[in-house]
Amino acid sequence: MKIFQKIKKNYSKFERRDFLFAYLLILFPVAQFLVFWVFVNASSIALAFQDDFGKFTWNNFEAVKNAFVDQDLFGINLKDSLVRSWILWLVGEVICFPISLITTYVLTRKIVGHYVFRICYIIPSLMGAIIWTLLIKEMVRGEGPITLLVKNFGLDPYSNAATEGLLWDDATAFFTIVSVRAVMGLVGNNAVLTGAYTRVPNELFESAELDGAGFFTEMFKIAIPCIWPTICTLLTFALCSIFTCDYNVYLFTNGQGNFETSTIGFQLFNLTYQLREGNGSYGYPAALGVTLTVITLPVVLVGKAVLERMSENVEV
Amino acid sequence: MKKGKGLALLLAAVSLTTCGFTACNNSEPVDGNTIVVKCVEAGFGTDWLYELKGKFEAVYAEEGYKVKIMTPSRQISGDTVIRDLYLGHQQTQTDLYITADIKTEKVGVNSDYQKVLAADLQEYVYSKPAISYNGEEEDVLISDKLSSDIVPFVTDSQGVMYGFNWVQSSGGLVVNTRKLAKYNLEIPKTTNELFDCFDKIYCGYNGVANSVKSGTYPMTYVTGTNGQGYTVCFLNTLMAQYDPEFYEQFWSFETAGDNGEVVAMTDNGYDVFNDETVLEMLKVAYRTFDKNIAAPGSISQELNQAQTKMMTDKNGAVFMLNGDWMLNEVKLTYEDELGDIDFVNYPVISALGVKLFGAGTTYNKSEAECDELLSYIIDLVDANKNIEDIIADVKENKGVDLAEADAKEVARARGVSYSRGVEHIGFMTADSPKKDIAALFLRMMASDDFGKSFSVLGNGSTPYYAQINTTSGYKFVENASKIVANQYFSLISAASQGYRKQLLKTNSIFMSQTHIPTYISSNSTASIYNREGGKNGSGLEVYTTVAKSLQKAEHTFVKNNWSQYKKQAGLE
Repeated sequence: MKIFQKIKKNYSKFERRDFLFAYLLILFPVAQFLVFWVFVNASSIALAFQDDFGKFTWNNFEAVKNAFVDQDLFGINLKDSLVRSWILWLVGEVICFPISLITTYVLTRKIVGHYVFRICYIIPSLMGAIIWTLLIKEMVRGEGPITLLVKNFGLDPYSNAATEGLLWDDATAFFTIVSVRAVMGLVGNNAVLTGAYTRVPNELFESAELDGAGFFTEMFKIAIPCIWPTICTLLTFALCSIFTCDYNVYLFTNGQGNFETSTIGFQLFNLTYQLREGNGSYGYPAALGVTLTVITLPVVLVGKAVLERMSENVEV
Repeated sequence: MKKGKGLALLLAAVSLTTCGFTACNNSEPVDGNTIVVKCVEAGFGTDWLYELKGKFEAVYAEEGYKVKIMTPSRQISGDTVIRDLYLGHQQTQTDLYITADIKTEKVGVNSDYQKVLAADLQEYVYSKPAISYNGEEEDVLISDKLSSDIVPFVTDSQGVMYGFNWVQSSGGLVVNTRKLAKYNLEIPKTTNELFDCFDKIYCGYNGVANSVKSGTYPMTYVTGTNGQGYTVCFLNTLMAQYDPEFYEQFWSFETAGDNGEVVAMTDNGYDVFNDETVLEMLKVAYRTFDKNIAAPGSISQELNQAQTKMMTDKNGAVFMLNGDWMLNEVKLTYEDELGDIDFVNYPVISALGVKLFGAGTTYNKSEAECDELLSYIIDLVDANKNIEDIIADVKENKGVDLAEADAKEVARARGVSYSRGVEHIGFMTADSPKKDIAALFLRMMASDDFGKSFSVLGNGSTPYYAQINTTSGYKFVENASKIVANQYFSLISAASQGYRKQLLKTNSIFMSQTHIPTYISSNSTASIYNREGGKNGSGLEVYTTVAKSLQKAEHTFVKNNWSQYKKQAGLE
């Protein structure tokens, strides 16, 4: 009660009304956070340590270990899925992200036709993931244009890749997903990076030009350092998704993840989906989630610290 | 001040609009004589429901009973309805749910909400006769009209009847008879006859070129998440045809003890995967899902694309494992082609013929003779003949002294039907104050009159009216109803039960390969065909070899993990 008296004493009626309004405004999102984040995650963590009867057990973690070493109880080897997740992550963040930094910069420097190129770049990132995935899926089907093109380069006409599509053959499926990932990696951050680049004052570039700096010197010495906080944010988010992002494997493969396409993110969903048909015991996928979180957390924290140390505070 | 007024004006406008829409939604009043019904929009449409409402209100006009049907939706199923039932009548105002994808035990004493969510229908519905469209009661009780096969699906674990099964719907083989007629082939009744059709369609026959040239392939199917269950229904049915007792054991890991008591196979449950029934099923599976003879796209397509392949010619197919609901699903797009398709029960596994009549039996027939005799008996079973007539017919026309037990075994196998209808259950809200009126509505749904009306408007059958449907105008619907009307008809379903349910967490047939047809069609190279529309010179043993290999791998996998399964389930 003292706190109410203190508030009454220190704040006017109008100020108190404003506070109340502000608190009520955030009440809903806070409640939502507590229920759908805190409670759900706490429940998931608890599940990881329980058997079907709610008793404490380490068995779920033993199952996770077996899944990485050999096979899990559903015949799935998670090691292969993990390797594929990393490959996709590396392609996206280590290869494509630096390229997108360059291409976006080139487009923001208003080269001839930059509007056209920019629109071509931005459209895919504006489209929903499902639409984009369906579009690609149709293009790489047995009679899709990309498959027909690949056939012209000597693809066996009786192979699964030729009759069913590039996503339905061991030899081509994962490469196709990597290629899609690469394309999305190139265009995905374009909108954010364009915004960051355009905030860099033109005076800096003009001054550099007077000093005789070339196109790429301006880019590496002025533009990228100026947008470094944005890059750090994007890379930190990327680090968070090192395990969980499934790159739409579920949609691409009609929920099967076969032909060597499954990723860890896909398997997390797949396991839970499969178990829903049984008696609803989710201890194993919960333990897998906890394990991945425990591994990811230091990676993200260390990565973020390194990124921040690498950067200088740039005031633009 | 101006801003404040503007805001007030905006809020007033929003409120008025919202109230207007709300009013639209609840324009029909609900009084004490009106029951509120929510119905799932399933493969049978909802025209029948509105007709039933009309008939019901006409019969009970004097009492003033009315039915308010909320907008049917696909969402009125599964957990959504369970949640609604939990909230109860006070919050939902709903008295009756005609729904799908809910197991009755989920609303009984073992519901997730620790309380009974639906009304016990034994007293309200099952112990009373159905009510005809003229308001008169039928002569028999509804419980007597309901097949005993269905009872487990409408009762909870304590045996209380909370559910009302409202449609009989089965998985089976869809055949495009227009395409099949070009090859001058008959609809197959055994798996060997099916494979004979595969051979002739794929390699060319009766003046029609091979599949690569003609664009007509033997089979198409779905391996993705939407519709992949159709292929699994076939595999389950094969096992139930071959050995019904083993089928029960397979899905429960339980066996009968010396005194008939149920004994859980706690130490050797994995041995069910080593049974000959599983091997015979796998041999058929490998030959059926041989990707060389499937219409291009079968591995990667969705359900609608597969059904299109059945209805059209370009890279089309003659056979598809589907269900008696397919006609309704393709009706809008292929209205003019609906007469091309037919529906029959799954072919009977030919290995059963060998088991009953082959070497080592009193008949001592060759494999070809076994299949011929099996097929002949199936014809008689399909004609709904009695066992005595079947035996006499076989003696007269085939010169074989058929033992009664063997005749019954073939009839039983042919009558096995994989039911999807038992997934369509209705429930009455436990605390509904209008249970008496809702019960009258359900009793009318159990009538022969409704059965006839449903067969026309829904192109389907109800579990309370097993008659051959000659009114729909489609041979597909008529032949589908013949399966149900046959005296040997029996239902199976596939879900882990008993000890298996406690131990394993999925309803997959196998544990190491969760979807056998997908695994085979995606990975197997075993085939007697080449990709050019002919044969590659291999013998049928290629399918047997891979079937044995997969069976061994699965048995070893489950055996090796047996202890881990038990540990994870808290059973060790």
